[in-house]
Amino acid sequence: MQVALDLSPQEASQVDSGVKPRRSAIELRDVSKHYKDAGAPIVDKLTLSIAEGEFVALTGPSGCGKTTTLKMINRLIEPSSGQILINGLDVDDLPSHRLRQGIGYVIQNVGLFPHMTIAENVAAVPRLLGWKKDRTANRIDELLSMVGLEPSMYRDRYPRELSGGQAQRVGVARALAADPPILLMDEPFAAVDPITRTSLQDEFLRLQQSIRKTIVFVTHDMAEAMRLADRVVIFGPQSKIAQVGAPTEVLSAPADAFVSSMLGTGRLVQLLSCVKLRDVSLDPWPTISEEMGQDERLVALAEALGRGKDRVLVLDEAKRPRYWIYLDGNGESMRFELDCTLDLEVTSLRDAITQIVYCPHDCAVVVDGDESFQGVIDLKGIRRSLAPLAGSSASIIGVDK
Amino acid sequence: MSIFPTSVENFHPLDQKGEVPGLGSSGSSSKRRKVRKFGHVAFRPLMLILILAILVLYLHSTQLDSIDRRSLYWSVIRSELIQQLGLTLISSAVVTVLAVLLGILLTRKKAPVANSVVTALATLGQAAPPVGLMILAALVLGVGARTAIYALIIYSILPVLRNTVTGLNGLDKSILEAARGIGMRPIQILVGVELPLAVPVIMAGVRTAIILNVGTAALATFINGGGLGTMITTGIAVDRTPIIVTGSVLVAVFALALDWVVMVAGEVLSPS
Ligand SMILES: Nc1ncnc2c1ncn2[C@@H]1O[C@H](COP(=O)(O)OP(=O)(O)O)[C@@H](O)[C@H]1O
Ligand SMILES: [Mg+2]
Repeated sequence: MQVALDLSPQEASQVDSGVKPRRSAIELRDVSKHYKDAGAPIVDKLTLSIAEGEFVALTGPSGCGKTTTLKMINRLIEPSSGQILINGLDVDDLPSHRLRQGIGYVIQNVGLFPHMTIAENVAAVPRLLGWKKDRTANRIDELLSMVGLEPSMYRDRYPRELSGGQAQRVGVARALAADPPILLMDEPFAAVDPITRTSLQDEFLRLQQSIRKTIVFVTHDMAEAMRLADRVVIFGPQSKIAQVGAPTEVLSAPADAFVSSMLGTGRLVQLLSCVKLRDVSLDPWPTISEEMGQDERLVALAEALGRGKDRVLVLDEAKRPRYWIYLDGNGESMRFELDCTLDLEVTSLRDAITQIVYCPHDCAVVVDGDESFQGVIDLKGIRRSLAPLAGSSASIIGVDK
Repeated sequence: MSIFPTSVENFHPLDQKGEVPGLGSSGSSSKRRKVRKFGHVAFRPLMLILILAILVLYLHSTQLDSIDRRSLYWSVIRSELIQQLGLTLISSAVVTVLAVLLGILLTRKKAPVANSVVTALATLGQAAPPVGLMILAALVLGVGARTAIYALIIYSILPVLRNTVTGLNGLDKSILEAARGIGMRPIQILVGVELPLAVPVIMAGVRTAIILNVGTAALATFINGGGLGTMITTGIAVDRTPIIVTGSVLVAVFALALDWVVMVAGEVLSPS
């Protein structure tokens, strides 16, 4: 048996021979949904294209049609009109259950099967696809570890023995079981307490960094949408899209009063949370290799002082920061430990500010994923880097465009 | 701790407070739960054996004449028992299959109208007095065990049907949505998710049907259907108290024993 949507991009583009510059994983074309008994359509001529590997959040007030839109993608709800393409293929071309076997689906209430163990729950889709026993067993363990549950401890438990957060981890594992390219998630973290939610969000972001699925994520929580997604779709009144854009775009320049009101007062903080250090320019700082002797160190310190810096950062052979050196009263070089190191990829400006405020030397060392030195950042630098993003928020944060 | 089931049952409310079920609960309380479960399961057979022993003692202490004896031969009792069991099990099995199938059909989409009609009919079947039902069936279909079974089916289909519908409709909708969402086909959802989860409720209905049938099967004798009721009607006809007592006790013991078997089966079958 073959996974329903196991089409490689090449295959798909052969089927759809049209010339497209950027392949979209999911494409909604003029999709509408209205119920006979209800007057206005729930979803009205929605057109949206979602690229492969993109994380898109659908957000907006309750009842605006987010769930309906999501469910039309895996045909849990049939659209009244319009067309939905996945990898260039019309979703109607497949039997609906085959379509769904190839799309991960996670819902707020998790919906684990209470009469099955965690392992059996996770194995649900592989079983439908007729996987061999040992392949399924390996996959179960791999997935449970991936979502942070020790397989030997959780494999044979029943869903009722899990906390809400653990249950949703299993829900995510079940959705990922057959490695579907697309994941649909409907308020997956809404039913857990705020602390668990934050850690689930963090872990999920980290997971997404490695699995790079195309994700459509429904949430009514703007902050969550901004935090997680590459692109945010804000549904407005009358089922119209009020704004689509990257979180920083939306936060720095809300399209209208409706979007502004949806964003609420925490907008600046959210903006700071969304911008990662990799999005801003870092400042250089004098460095010296660890192997250098005392004389070279003194020379480097003198040069640094000439440029108004009283310290030099010592790096090892892999360019990993080791410690600071500075000149003491007797003209000797002294070392002291690093106090504040931030990760380029994951640290947001908001976290950076918090760290810098508590740091004795009002500036922080920034490293990349391999811990190699990238530059430094201080509060002035953060302020400067906000200017181009500021847009209408310039007045709030008091920077000039 | 006493080993008597009743006192074990009463033991708990206080010490079990605050315990999270299933989350590494302490060994002693799970042992206690097992003891209670065992007491719960073992009490019934012990009680029934006691009742039978008393019956045997009573019969031994009574002067039995040849008429009494003829009705109380083991071979006679055994064949009546088998008839009673046959009437009960056949009717209950047919009812279970019929009612579960019907219940499944009625809980699929677009069946709410059919649902209310069928339930109304089934209610009518149960509301009719069972003797009347038997005799009515005999008037239409003639006397005999087969007719008695038809009457029993009509009489006992409601509880299974109602419980099947309730059990299937009462399932957590998010479980069904998840099942659909991961690509299970309707038949796979029904067999793999809905029915297993509804088993406890359906089994409760089956249990009720069996109880109804095992009691009502004693009336089959009125239409020549056999069963333990024969002993009671014979006893009345020849005016012999020991026969009437034995027949009544056996009907009751048999009903309670069967109920117990079904209860234990339900506990074994249902998802833990
Ligand atoms: N079967 C239905 N018939 C009529 N209206 C429906 C039906 N299902 C959903 N709706 C309506 O569609 C609207 C959008 O629902 P939904 O997509 O769940 O919103 P959201 O997920 O954004 O909160 C709601 O106002 C709801 O009342
Ligand atoms: Mg919703």
